[in-house]
Amino acid sequence: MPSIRTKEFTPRASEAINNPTIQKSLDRLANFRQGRTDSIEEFGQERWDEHTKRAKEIKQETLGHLDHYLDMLSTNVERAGGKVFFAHDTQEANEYVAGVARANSVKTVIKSKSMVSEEMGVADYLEGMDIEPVETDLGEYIIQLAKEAPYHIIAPALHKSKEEVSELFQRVLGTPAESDITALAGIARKVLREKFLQADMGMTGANFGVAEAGTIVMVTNEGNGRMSSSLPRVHVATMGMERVIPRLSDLATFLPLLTRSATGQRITSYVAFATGPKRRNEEDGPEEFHLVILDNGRSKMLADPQLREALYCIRCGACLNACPVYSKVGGHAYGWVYPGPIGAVVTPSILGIPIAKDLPFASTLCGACKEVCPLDIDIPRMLLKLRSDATEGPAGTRKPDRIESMMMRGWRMIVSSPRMFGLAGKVASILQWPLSRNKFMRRLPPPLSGWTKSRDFPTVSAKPFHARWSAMALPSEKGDKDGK
Amino acid sequence: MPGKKVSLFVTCLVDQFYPEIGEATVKLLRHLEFEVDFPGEQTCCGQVALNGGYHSHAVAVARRFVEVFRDSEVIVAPSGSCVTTVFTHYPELLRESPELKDEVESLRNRTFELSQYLVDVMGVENIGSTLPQPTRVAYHDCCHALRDLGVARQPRQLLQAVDGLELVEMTDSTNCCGFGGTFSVKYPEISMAILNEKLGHVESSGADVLTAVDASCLMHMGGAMRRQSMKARPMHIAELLASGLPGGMNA
Amino acid sequence: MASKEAFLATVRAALAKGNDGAEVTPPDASPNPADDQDIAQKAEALRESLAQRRDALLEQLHRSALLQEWKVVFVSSDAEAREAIVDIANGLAANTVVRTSHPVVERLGLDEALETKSIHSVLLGSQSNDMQGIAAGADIGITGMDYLIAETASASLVAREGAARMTSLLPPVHIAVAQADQVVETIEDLLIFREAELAEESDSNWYMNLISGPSKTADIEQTIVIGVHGPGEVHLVVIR
Repeated sequence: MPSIRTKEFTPRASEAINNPTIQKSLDRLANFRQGRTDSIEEFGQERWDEHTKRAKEIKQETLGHLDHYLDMLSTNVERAGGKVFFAHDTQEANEYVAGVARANSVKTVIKSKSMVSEEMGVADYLEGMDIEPVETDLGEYIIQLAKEAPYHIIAPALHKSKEEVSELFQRVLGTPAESDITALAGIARKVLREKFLQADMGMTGANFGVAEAGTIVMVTNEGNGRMSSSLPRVHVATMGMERVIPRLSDLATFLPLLTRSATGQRITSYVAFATGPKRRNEEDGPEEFHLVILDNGRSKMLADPQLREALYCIRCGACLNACPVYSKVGGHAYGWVYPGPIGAVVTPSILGIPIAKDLPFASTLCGACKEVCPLDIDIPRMLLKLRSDATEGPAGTRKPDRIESMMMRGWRMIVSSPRMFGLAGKVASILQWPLSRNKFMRRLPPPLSGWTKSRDFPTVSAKPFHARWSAMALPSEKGDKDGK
Repeated sequence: MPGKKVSLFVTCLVDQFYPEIGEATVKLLRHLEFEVDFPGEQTCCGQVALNGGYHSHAVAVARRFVEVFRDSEVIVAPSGSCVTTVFTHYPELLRESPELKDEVESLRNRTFELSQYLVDVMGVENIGSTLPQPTRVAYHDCCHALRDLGVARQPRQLLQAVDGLELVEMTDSTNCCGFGGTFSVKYPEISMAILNEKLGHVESSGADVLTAVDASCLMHMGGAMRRQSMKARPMHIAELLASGLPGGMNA
Repeated sequence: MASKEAFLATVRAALAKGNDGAEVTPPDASPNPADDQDIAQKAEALRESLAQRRDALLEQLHRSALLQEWKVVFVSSDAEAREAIVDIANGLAANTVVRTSHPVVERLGLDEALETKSIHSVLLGSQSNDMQGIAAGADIGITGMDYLIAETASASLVAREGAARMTSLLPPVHIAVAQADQVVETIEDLLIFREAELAEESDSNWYMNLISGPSKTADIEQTIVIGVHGPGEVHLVVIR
């Protein structure tokens, strides 16, 4: 398991906000947003809506019968000569991968991008066995050298300026300083090409696992996914169990939703379909194919009718790009593998709310994520459910704030009748007097001090609306109790 | 709309902090010949409890709300987020009270944000307002009004029809202002980072007035605008529209 | 296998819980292609429909291919195809090219034509011990492609024999050769043909690539760099 730093949300958010390089990098999310908008316009809004509707139906069908489709997927992978391992948790998954590596005397593993492999922390696990795991996706390679977690689902090194990348390469690879981005990519290309050609095992992710065909699909732009699934003798693919879809034809529904939402592309440079190991007559290609299917808490989400929807996610990253909070705090504040709105749901669901309590609360519930989600996943609703669990959920789930709970009990009393409400207003009216100037307060005690640090706070009115109504009411509008 | 009756849901925030918005709303509705009643038992829709995860408190307050507005044919509020609480969240919130199911369904379909009601339901295109002096106005799209209620065209329609009002579209008007209820106090640094970007757009729009349908967002934006001594001032849409009616702001 | 049964049992239990105790019934239709009796007819009908729309599809292909940074050339005969390929190789001052034995390439007589320009052409296969080295050291890889998708400017290839994977991936330039009558409109069309083929194929393992342009990345400051790990220059030669 990669390190869990979910309790550091606020300080790490603050770090990001006060870092001009990071803010500049996050400003570039606008490109992703515009790309998506332009791409959908080209596709046609009506056609897009049909696709999202159909995709949701397919996900509902699949997840509603997940055991059936996983069984079918595994049967078909095996029929094609591949092996399937069902991993209950990341420990089991890592042990299986290690076993495959050992059995094949693997020294070097080339990895193409897989969020599930990040979840497993398999690179660290393999290193502990004296095996060299090499991330080959340029962004993943950069963060591997920097020993950092991915910053964004699609662009792992989004936060790094080209100067920082150059310094990193200088420090770790001993290469000269480079100010040109093409040249920097060229450095990585050269180093990684050597690794591609000598690797014994390739690990990839799987954007989709097609049940009827036993096929995993890899959607990429760089070519490292192709390298990892074609050059080494052994190919290991890692997949979250929710990524299975029933039919090959379903890909026609999902692929445009993924590529257009993620990068605004009609299609990525490469879409590779791998069904088992290489054919008899093929001279290149892996001789062994392994598919590792991971649960790691997804069954918990499946069991909760309110959280199941989060399993529809195709990891396009559109919600990150749309989120006002992510756009300021960046990926590391979220403290685990999955950042942004979807991370705010998945992380507490998998790791538990007590250690990830900030995540469901650090949202304005603006709904931009739901608006851009190609599967129409209602993230705000799930955040509200997680907040409710945090406050009033079963033991082990809840982590209430005692003071806030007290205040809410007070609030409940206040709003229980207009008389109480009016009384509370009068009390506030008196208490605020020493703090007010010209109907505003510039300094308030906690918890409102967070507000007044940078915003003026209005005073309550001496005469609330309730008190004004009887003077305003026209004779025809007066209720029965005023007589007619 | 002579004789058409609407019940005012003034919202707890407007009641206590911005009663003038309530007054402006009433003035506007009367100008359009509505009969306005004010169910005096109302206090709050429960949004703050819902958003804080205080589910059981929210349920209790919601049940009370249903009761208070039981006899109101049409409910109008000068707020998008409060109407959203009723429209989007009450069915889920009250799902454990199946005896209220039909009532909640009826309630959510007769509760409206002010501009939504005027334009969509009553077909109003021009309220007949003339501002005392020419004013450049930028409209901020409050999140819940926009995404839950589909309110975007309606307030702009009403604003554009006002004589002397020049509506300017500011950059990223649909971006969140960073309020998010208690978020603004729990995560003040993030809230301000989001807000400062918004305020930059307000500034570059050259607007004299920043308007919106939610007093809560305006409280947050306005609070910072005042602290930063910005030229633009915040004004709720009801106040802004009513200021151009005969008698000005006075009821 | 123990882990599979336990795993699926966990999933079933989760479903039972999530469906509020309702019975989980198997899905209505089995998506197994072997069950789809109609797939052959579906494919045939599609073939006919595509034939009627061919010119429009080729135009669409051309437009999208240019937008996606393919270099495209349409030719009317095998001879022209050969000439076009030799021109490309010559223009790049290539020393070595590697190729596959895909029918659409095999019949072009490329080896001889390239030799006349002192360009060494190698059919990559088991005659060489260091296939990877040869492919990585070659200037161009030439492969025949199975289908062309007009909407997304994609060329598809199922790796059937030889070293199709390496040939299209390791050299810095890739020339993809295809027949115009293999053009389809959407990926949906392509997948119908794949399913029809699967129903006939004896091998249940297969590897297919959809290539839709040069290799690229935008991982540093969202600046696009062409030609990262895969070929940075891709040519599409379409033979009518």
